[in-house]
Amino acid sequence: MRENTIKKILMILSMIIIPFVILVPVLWMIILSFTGEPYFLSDISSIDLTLEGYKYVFFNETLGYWGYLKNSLIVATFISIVVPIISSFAGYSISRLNFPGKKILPLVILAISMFPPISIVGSIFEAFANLGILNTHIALILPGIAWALPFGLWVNISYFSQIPIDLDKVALVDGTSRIKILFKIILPLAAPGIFATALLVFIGSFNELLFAILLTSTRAAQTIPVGISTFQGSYGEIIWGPLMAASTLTTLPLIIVTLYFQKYIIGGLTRGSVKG
Amino acid sequence: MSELNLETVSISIKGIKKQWKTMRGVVTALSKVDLEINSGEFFVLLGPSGCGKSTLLNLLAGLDNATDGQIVYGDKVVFDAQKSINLEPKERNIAMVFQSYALYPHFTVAQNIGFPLTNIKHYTKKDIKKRVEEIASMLKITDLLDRKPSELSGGQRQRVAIGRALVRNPKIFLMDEPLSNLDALLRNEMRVQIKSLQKKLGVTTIYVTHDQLEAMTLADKIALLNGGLVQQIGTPEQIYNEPANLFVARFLGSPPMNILEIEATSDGFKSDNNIVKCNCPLNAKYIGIRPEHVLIRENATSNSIEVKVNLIESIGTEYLVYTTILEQHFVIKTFNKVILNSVYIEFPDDNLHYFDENQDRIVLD
Repeated sequence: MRENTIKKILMILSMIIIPFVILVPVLWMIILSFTGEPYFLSDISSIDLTLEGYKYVFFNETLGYWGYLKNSLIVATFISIVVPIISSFAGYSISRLNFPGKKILPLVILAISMFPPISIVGSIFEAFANLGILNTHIALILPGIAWALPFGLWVNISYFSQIPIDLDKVALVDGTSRIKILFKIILPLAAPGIFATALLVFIGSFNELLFAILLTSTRAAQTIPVGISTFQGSYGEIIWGPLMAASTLTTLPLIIVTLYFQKYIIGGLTRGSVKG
Repeated sequence: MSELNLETVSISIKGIKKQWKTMRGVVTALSKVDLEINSGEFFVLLGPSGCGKSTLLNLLAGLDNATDGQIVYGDKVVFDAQKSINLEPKERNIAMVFQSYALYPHFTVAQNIGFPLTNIKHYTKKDIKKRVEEIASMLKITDLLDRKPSELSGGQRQRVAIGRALVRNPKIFLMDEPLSNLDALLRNEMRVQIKSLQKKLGVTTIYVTHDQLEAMTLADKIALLNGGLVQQIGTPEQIYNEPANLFVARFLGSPPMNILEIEATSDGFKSDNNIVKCNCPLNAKYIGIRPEHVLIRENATSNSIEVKVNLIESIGTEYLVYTTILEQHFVIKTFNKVILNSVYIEFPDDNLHYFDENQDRIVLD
């Protein structure tokens, strides 16, 4: 009984604290986007709600918000399509096929992914400069894929490994080709894992700042995080209202994508298992 | 059902060996297995876990390659290590049923059963539907056709898995512990169904199990495996009545055969206090007797020995009496409840088994 009480208290505390920690900055952002006043807590009575921030973001062409958003969407979409495709094929091979080094390969990939990106961004910059692709979407998509692949691989390897190998065996015995097994049986069953990868990679690439800020210097390819970091007023001051309005708007695509993919992920998790 | 009749084939397995190279050296799963299985036979591979029986089944299916040996189906060589012949699973015309059922969870029952037919070019959707209905009505699962596997009970899933195996008219059935996931009651029921289905279809069937009861009841012939070696091949009666060695003797029966390490004399063997007279050959190192064959006497007879009763268990109609002879465990199965602290027992000559120092059976003239 006492243990249960402690459990309950801990549960309730975490239910209060975790959303609090996560949501307060978001709330702060949303309130600021409507007030433009970062110190609103010092004098709550003086708050007046305004849509000025949003108007500025929407209609001020020198700000270029829509251009940044477009670049972000292009880059993130590309990466979140390519990474799940490559990593699901890799997940299939590593969980299904026998080849030398199949155990060591994922570990090597994991080890490589532990290099801090900042340590290689210099050489990437040089290489891309020589190739003449700085300031293009490609310059962000390529390193983005490289950055997200190890993560995608690990999610997919573990997801594919959970799909019973007996399904492959019985299909093989029944005369099914490997390709047909992959597309008709394994991939549909792995869909939740693949969608989860796509979703997380999309969020990650959408918010990516380091590569974006170093590999792009014009609006042709600069993404939202870069754009927001460069927001300033005519005298170099921080323009809180538009800054927060842009940030709030920027979370919208992420929320939409999350809600859209969520049903696939949960739908997959609750689907019947193989054993009785 | 004329459609369900099946041409079936014999199977010949010669010198099959399977080894794996691992970091810790070479692991041998099968040392050298030779089996001849007649056309239409229900053949059971029996053995404890890790004995290599499932490995052998995978080799037969073509899911794995043997290190050495030859496998022939009918007159078609499907695997030959020397000649580098190795047919793909789909070229072997076999069907397999797994312990996990391996139903495709995202397909309905009808799609599951029909799936193997989608691999055959000349089958139209209509043909497939017709065939699936035929199979379903035979297995009495017609009302389940639109359900997903997650909505079925264990027994129903098992039937769907069998249906999917039947749908292509395979020449050989391979079953890998198909009943192990079912509860005891259902297992009995499905066992009877599998047996009668196999009889009706007459397809050569290889059935892997670690359950001796399944093996005894289902098999026309049993091969008992241990440590990658065939210990004995024979009908269930042969294996039960004439175990080839101590392993076989100890593996079958519930409780298994009593084995005593003894010292043979010219007219019997030494027990705790006296000599038990029997046809014990001088080279016998072990004697075996099944618990149900031991005779219990209330009073001493000319050839009985007295044993102390340690424990009595009731198993319904019978009792198990636990005793100790020559400091070794000894179990007696009897219909009569023993109420004494000690009893006299006799070993009927006909029911005694003798094994030599290599633990092999000594065949008496």
